[in-house]
Amino acid sequence: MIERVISLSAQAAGGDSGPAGVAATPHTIVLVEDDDGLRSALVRILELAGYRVESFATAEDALAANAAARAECIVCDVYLPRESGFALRRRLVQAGSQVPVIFITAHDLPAVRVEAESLGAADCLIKPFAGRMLVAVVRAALTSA
Amino acid sequence: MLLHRPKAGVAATVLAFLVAFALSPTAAFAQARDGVGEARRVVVLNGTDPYLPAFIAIDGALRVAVRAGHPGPTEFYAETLDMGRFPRTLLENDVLALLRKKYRGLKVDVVVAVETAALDFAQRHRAELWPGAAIVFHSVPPDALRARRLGPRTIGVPVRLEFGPTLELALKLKPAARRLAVVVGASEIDRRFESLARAAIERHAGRLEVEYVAGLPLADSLAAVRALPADAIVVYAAMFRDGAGVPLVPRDVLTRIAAASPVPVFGVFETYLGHGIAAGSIASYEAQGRRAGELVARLLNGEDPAAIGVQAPVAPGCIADWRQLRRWGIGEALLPENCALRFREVGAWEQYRWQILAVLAVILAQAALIAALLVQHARRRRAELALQRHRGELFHAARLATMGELTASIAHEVNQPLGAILANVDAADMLLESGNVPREALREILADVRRDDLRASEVIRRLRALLAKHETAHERLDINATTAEVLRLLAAEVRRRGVDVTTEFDPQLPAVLGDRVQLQQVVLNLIVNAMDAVADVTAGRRRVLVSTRLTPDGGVAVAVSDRGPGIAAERIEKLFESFFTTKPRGMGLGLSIARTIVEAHGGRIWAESDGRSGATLRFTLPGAEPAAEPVLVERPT
Repeated sequence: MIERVISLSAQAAGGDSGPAGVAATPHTIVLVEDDDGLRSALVRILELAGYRVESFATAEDALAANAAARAECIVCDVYLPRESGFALRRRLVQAGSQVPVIFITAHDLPAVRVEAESLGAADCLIKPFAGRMLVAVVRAALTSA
Repeated sequence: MLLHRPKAGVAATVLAFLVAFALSPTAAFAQARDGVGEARRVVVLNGTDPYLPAFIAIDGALRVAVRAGHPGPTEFYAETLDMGRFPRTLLENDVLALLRKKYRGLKVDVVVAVETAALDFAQRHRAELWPGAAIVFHSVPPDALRARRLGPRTIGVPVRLEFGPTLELALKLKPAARRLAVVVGASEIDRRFESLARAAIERHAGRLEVEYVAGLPLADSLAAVRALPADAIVVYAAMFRDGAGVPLVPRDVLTRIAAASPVPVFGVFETYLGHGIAAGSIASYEAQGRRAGELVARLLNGEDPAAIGVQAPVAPGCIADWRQLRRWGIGEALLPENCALRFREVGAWEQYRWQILAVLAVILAQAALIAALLVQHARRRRAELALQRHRGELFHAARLATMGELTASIAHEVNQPLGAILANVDAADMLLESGNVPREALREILADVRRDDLRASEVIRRLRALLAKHETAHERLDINATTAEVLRLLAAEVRRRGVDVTTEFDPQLPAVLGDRVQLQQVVLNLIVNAMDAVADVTAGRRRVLVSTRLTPDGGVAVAVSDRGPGIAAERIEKLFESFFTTKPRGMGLGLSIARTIVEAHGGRIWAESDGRSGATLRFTLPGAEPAAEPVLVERPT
């Protein structure tokens, strides 16, 4: 299910090309985060940065919406209810997806970082992180992709 | 006693009259006048006032002795000359005339002459008034006898007024005395006493400076006594009349003299004892009366007075007033041997020493017992408090340990809202940089920041509630809400572990009484244990069920079931023992503490497992009484 988020991108992206220098057709970012507050905040910052954002609360929801097919970058929480962010990444890799994935997690554990790296994550951000940091990491991921 | 036979018709009335008459005081007199019976007559003739305490005492003893020594009927006639107050010359003829009239034709056997004046009167007028009567005198001093010629049939018991021995006794009791004041009145008798005292005191001349406070008005006598120096003593003789002519009762005067005196007062009369004298060489009135009475009885029995003769005086002896000795600080040790000590106030201690000691012993024993019990109680209370404190500390430490295992989840719970806040702040920043700032958008961001901040605070509040040290409380708790709060705290951990936790809460549960934090600690422990149990189960099948239900006895049961490998039968037994653990890093205290907490709440905790497919840990708690509601009492009508 794609959540409707009060979109600020019209003002932010319309006025200029945005901090990321996004073109007129914005990149689509898929965000999977189960925490409502954080999810809406991240949607807000990404949209302000000029991206189109599809956000989901669970991996299952994202898969069901086939969001990966539209995504140019996936920002995904590690610990999600039922299927984890890592499991989602494995499925996508198995399905042949090459979309860069940025993991975000509150668990700053070596095991998490190692697993994220082994799954070929573009980056792994430890919560709490600055909004601009996410925007920078997303831009880098899109650039390298 | 003979009674006249009453005439017919008035028999009952006359009989009653005669009985009443026979019992009246005048009956004996009537009998005597009629010459009926064998009554002997005794006239007690008092020279002064027969109601003086001394004479009352002597007369009482005399009459007892007469009745004891002479079994036949005896009539006593009391007469007084009252010459203590009135001069002999003034009254004698009139008194004589009266007595002549009274005793005309009445045979008197014995005249008891009390005091010298009475003895003189009786001797002078016996032949006329009481012809043939014998005279028995008492209260007459030997000196007075020596100056008189006793007629035939006159015998008696002289009284020795011991001024000499009394003075010696006084000097023994107060050796430092250098002055002597002799207090005496102005009546004829007083003067006789004074001369007796002077004669005795002369023998001690030279040793003492003697002052006679004699014949003065009472007020002057009192003033003289009051002015005496500390090295004085007082000998009080008597004061029937003072220098102002006021008739007095000597004993009452003594009371005032003694009150005014700054030094001890001594005297020679027994009746002065108890009224202010410290001591004296005194002849007992009772003995004087008894001895005189015995003489009267012998005469009434027909003995010849010449054969009996004048008796030796009653031997005086030392008698002291214990209270006066105390007043003057005179030690009992100074008293001569065989001195009778009167009015000794036996203190409670002397009188009831053993009883008091026994009661004290009992009280002491009881006090000791009570003190021991109190000490024991205080110790037990301290031990209980220490145990409670240690338990509290143990519970707290265990909570810290459990929460330590959940650190990652806790950090996650706090970091989520913090992350949201950071992102929103950056968003606001970017909006501001864009120049065109829609106020509505900013307001939304601020609202989100506020909400996330509160969310972080709430997580911290829950943590603090669980982690802070606290006093054990007893409050009414909703066990469903208490359990749900634990699940909220564990939400991140549940997610992290990929466990599917479901709940089945019975909504119709009674409240329980207990400590919220401790009970949450139990639930937390059971759920973490259950999650541990399903850790090795394939992802997606890690299921834990938390349920509550009503017990048959109206209590509450909380169960945590897992789909783990189950618990072997031999382990179930040990599950709640301290330091029993199946976990590589566990201390084996969690379930032991859970059991302690549950049992302290009056509940029970146990495990159920078939050893293959999962386990259920269940605990029960008694339901609290319903909150105060009016109670209807049925009254019998």
